[in-house]
Amino acid sequence: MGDLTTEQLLLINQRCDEYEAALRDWQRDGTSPESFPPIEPFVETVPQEIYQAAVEQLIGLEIQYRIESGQTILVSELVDRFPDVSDGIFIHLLQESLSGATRLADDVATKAPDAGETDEQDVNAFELATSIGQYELLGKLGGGGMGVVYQAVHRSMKRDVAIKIMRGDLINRRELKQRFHREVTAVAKLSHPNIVTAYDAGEVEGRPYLVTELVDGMDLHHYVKRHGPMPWQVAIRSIIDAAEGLKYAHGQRIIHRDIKPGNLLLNHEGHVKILDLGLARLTETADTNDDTNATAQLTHTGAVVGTAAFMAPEQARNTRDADQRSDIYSLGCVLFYLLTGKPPYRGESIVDTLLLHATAPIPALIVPGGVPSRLGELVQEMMAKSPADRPGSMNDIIERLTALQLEDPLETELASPDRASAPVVTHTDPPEFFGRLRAASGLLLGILVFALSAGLFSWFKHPDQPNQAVQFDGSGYIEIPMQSGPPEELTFEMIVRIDDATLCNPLCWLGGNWTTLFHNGNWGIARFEQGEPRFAVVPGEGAPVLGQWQHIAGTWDGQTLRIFVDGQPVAQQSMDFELQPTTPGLFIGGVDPQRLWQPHDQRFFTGLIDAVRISDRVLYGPDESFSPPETLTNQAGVVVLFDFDQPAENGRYVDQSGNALIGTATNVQQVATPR
Amino acid sequence: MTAADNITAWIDGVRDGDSLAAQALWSAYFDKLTRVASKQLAGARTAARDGEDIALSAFKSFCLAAEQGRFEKLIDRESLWPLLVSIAANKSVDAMRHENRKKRGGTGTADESTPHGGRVHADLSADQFLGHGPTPEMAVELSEQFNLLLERLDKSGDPMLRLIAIAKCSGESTGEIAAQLDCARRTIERKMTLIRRLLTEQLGDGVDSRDE
Repeated sequence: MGDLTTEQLLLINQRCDEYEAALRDWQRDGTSPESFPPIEPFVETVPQEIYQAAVEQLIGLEIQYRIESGQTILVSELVDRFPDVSDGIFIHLLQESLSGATRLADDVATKAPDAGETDEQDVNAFELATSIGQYELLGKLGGGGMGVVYQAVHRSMKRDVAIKIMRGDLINRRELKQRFHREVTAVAKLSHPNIVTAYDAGEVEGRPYLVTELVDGMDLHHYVKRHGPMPWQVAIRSIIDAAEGLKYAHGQRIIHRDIKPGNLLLNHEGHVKILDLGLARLTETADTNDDTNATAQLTHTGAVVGTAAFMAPEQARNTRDADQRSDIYSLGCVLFYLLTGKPPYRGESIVDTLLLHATAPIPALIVPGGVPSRLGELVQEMMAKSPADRPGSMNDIIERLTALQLEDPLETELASPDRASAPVVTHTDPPEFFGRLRAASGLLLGILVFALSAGLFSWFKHPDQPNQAVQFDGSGYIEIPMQSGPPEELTFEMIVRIDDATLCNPLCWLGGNWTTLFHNGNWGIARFEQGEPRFAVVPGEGAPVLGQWQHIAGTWDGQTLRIFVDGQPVAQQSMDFELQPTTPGLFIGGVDPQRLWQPHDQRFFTGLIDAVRISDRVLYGPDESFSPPETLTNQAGVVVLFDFDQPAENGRYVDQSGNALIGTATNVQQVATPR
Repeated sequence: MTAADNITAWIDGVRDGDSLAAQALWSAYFDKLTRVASKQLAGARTAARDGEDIALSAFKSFCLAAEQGRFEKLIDRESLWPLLVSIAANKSVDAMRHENRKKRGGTGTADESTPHGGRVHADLSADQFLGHGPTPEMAVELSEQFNLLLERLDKSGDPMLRLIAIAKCSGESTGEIAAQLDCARRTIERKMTLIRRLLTEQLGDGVDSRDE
């Protein structure tokens, strides 16, 4: 719009305001979701020289409101309506709106029902028919931009199947039908244990459908959401399966082009099957239809979102540039996701995410307990920006992952979370111990490696070791990345010596119902519960206890916060205290200032902490005194345990609860101290 | 190139994010400016005259925003502040130039050709200007320019422009403003384009009227 005059800009602005008022009325009315107000009347009278700019602005609004109301918008529809406007503009507008939209269609998935995921109000549901051909429909499995997936059973063969049928409102879209048929052709060519098998295809009432095997399991996206990141030994098994399927597809000259966790189904035997070949491309046939760059990625509203997080840079630039190495890239991103629970790049919008894939440095694999350095290197290579720098074929990947699987686990050097070259655990640990274990059975070795990676280092503790603690000087802290906020019930415990009475938060678990043990001259505990702050604090009596070791416990039983000092319950009193929502993370000694809202004064602790333990239950009953433990040890219900008798390795403290948490220290010192 | 051009080009550089050093200097300058303005605001509050409320809206906007920890948003390239500061800076530089000429009793034209004459400030680089730090006069000029902008926006006939400019200058994000005004983000973006255009015209007007 840079070349328009101010008057022209003002005119377009006015038309847009009028049109947006009409859109708001339509949205509020809500009775006729399909009959949105068209922009045509609003551009009819604008001067020719600003027509294109006006359409661009107005259609941007139309797209945004329609997407918000859950509609699917296709580039072809817009091209039909405004043949004079470049489709690149529409693609750009769609991408922008999709990135800002909050309600996005979930991906179509051929999978068994997930509790609570059925959408009763889906207007596109195949509501009238209870059967398609020989198949009796049993229930809806999922729905997405392009089709609806049902669970069904073949009448005479009694075989359970999944049927994906195209949405009724899309059957007049020729290019979409072509795409659907292309998926059918692609999947029909493939027969492999790691690819969902196609049984049948056809058309009913003008709607094409595809019948595939029904996989009883969960896709890897939902799996990681539910269970958190996978141990590397499990993750590489899944990736080997997916790579086997893709190796076969590549051999058939088919590129998947949409490899992401949501398209990899983990069945109950622990094997992965690839699904959704909707974007697959047969490499021997040139794409001659109007499948322009982003159209292929934009065919349904969810696809582009799910895809951007895993899409190779060359594929983002031009879908036709995708080859088997783009699938390798995406699979590398999936492996990253399985190990860390996060996609490698997350921009504020789709376009940003795609740009990050193209330009940002490959992020470090931050995995509690570490991964073998050779695995870290392989992930880096798979995610190389330039296709030429990636492993040459799926076969390479399978060989390298299999080698890792077969290796003597004790020889496998675990890479530290942020530097592939710095081992956290190597066999420089007590050698004779390992030597003995080497003689034991392979099974035992496996168990030991698991125990090591789970952080059970206390086995190696020498009994005559002097007591150690961590010293905080009012600026340092230890940060432990967490997957979620604190549990529904809990006990926070610390063995602590406070040396300065300044307001501080020595133990803080952010995220969700974030909870903090604080000191404001007296010990207190605060929790953010259902959006409301709650507090308990010792009434201010006498001077703070400085320079003395104390056992401090704070509990939350779902109703009440309580605090215990040296095993004595303390009367509670509430106070004013501001808490706002935060993202998960555990902090000892104070909170990284970046993590709290501004302005929030610094609340760093000055003193010593000997041990920290958090349990997912209430350990100490109300109004009962107990004899405070001298040391904090592992037991049932412990979710976090840091006994600072174990010095940091490379600035990292390893949790001893078995949850393999890693604390990264900033400005703290390990000191020997009598207790 | 005049000092005004220098500063405009420099601020454009800040807006385009092409130099980290420029960004840092700008950030430091803006930080000081906030403090200068804060003081003035405190002084004016003591005076407590109703009529000043409007004149102080620029100060309020960014002092409040800085207090609320929105400083990052105030200095980013989407912000209107760099442009406002560059307009105010141009005026200040020109004012200084006029002041110097008067002090030496010059006419304003003869000095232009004197090698060591009155062009000291005209040669002032943007770095030097910003390095000097903001003066109270600069803060007043800024407030005036902000009010001129609001007047200009009102004349456009679109009442939302004023609200958006104030919200934006207070460091609110496009999403927050869209939610408050119940409209699409895209609408806020479109109106920001318009506001920037009108502000740039104000810059042009200012330069034209002084450099005639």
